[in-house]
Amino acid sequence: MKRKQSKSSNNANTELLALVGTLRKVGQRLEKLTAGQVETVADSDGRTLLLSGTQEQLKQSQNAKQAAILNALPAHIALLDAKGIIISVNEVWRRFDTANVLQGNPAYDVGRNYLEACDDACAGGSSIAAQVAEGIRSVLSRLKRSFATEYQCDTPTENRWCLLTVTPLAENRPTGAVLMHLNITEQKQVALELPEANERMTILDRAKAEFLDVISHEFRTPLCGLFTVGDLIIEGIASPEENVELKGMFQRSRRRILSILDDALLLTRIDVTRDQFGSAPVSLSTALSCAIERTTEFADSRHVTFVMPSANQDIVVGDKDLLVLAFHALLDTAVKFSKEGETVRVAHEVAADSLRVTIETHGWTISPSAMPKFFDIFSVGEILTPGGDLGLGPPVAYRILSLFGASVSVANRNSCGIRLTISLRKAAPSGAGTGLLNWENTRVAGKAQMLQPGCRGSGA
Amino acid sequence: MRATIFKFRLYIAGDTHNSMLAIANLSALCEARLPKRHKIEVVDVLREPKRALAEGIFLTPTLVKLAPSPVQKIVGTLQELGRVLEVVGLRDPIV
Repeated sequence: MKRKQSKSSNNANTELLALVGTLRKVGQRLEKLTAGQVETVADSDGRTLLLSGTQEQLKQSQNAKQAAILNALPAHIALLDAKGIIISVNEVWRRFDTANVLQGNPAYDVGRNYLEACDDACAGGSSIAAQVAEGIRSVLSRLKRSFATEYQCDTPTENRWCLLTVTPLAENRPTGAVLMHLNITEQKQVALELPEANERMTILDRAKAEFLDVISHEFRTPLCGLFTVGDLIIEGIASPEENVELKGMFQRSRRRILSILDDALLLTRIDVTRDQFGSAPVSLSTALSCAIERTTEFADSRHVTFVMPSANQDIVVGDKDLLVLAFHALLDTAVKFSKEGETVRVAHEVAADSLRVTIETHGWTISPSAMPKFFDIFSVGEILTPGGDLGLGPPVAYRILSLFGASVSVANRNSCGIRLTISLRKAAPSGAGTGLLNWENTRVAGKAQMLQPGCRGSGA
Repeated sequence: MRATIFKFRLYIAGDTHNSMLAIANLSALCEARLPKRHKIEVVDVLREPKRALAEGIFLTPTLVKLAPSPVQKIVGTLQELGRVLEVVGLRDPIV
């Protein structure tokens, strides 16, 4: 019986070998007949057969494509068999593994059992390793369709976060799993920073709303003046004398609106494009004289006069137009804190590497509650003086001066007026000594004495 | 008078080397000799074996010139330009 079975088996093997030989010969003959240019043949039933060379080519082509796709991904990818042994890894995984081995860490390359590696790490106290091992086992045993977890993997120099996903290699058979580690540090940091950014945005939104509130408040007074003038003109009831007064009111309101607009735009420009403002040596005397020229009309209307410092050759760092604007805003503020007939004293002193300009009034003082907010944009509504609303003058001056490393502070003068102190950076005097004034330590009042070289027309 | 449109059907097997070569050679030939006067249909026998059977295609790559008549077939990578031109009836450069 055994001999019969053995004979039958020998016959089957002989036939099998003969068929394989025939198959090889047929393939070789077909290749020869078609000069190696044909890849498939079909039988009379249309069944396509790949010639051996083509089979190899297709296999290589498919492998190359899969490898290219896996290598193009930024994630660390490994294929595990049903037991958890690594059977293939992508380029990113290989590079990371090589670097780890160079740093003395164990290799997780092809052939190593990843589950055992997790178990070892778990025994060493790693809680995430236990979680990962459980996740991989649940996917390999098809208890779960997939597993994903985020974990922190800090290096000595940076905080890092990774996302681990495990998916089955094939849907219907327990053939293994695809393991992927993706660095999600950037997304994680963004997520962590998001609430902070949201809070910043909310604060900015609130600030913008408050700014608009203040601006609309500022516009209301001059607009009321314009509306009054308009109403009286429409009704035609104004006498020639009243017309002169109305004309003055109209001009003042117009200037006020334009000034608020200019100030608001400048504040926004300084906040948004702070780095784009350049600086150059500026004659302090020229800047001060131009500012006083601009303020004279307003000072005259209040019967306030300026006492100026003697002529000087001092040069400061800044932009002439902007410094004039800052001084004008501060002089304007000083006038508002002065009573009728009083003087505003402007003086300056030289320190080692800075210049100090002081503006002193003798009238009203600043209330203690308003003092800390004097240079804040949103405080203008609160700091109302008997001399008029301060508008955006103080914050504009403060921000302009800060552009050039200069500063301004304010203090009450013993219950009688205020003192504004401006500290400016000294510049080298070369090439900037033009346009200096020949001032005397004299009382200045009225427009006629204030036309200085280098000053532009007053726009405010 | 409207120019004759050449219609080709190329049977290939996936993206194997010879199939890709045949596609490239046919495209180059058409661009050079039949600009805007040709249509090429590529049939992958690994995806559509029945179409090959219906047209009696047993080897790939195989090119079938469908129009103008007569229908002609040529097997291989289409590297031998002279033979390809002869089979598809483009020997005369005026055609």
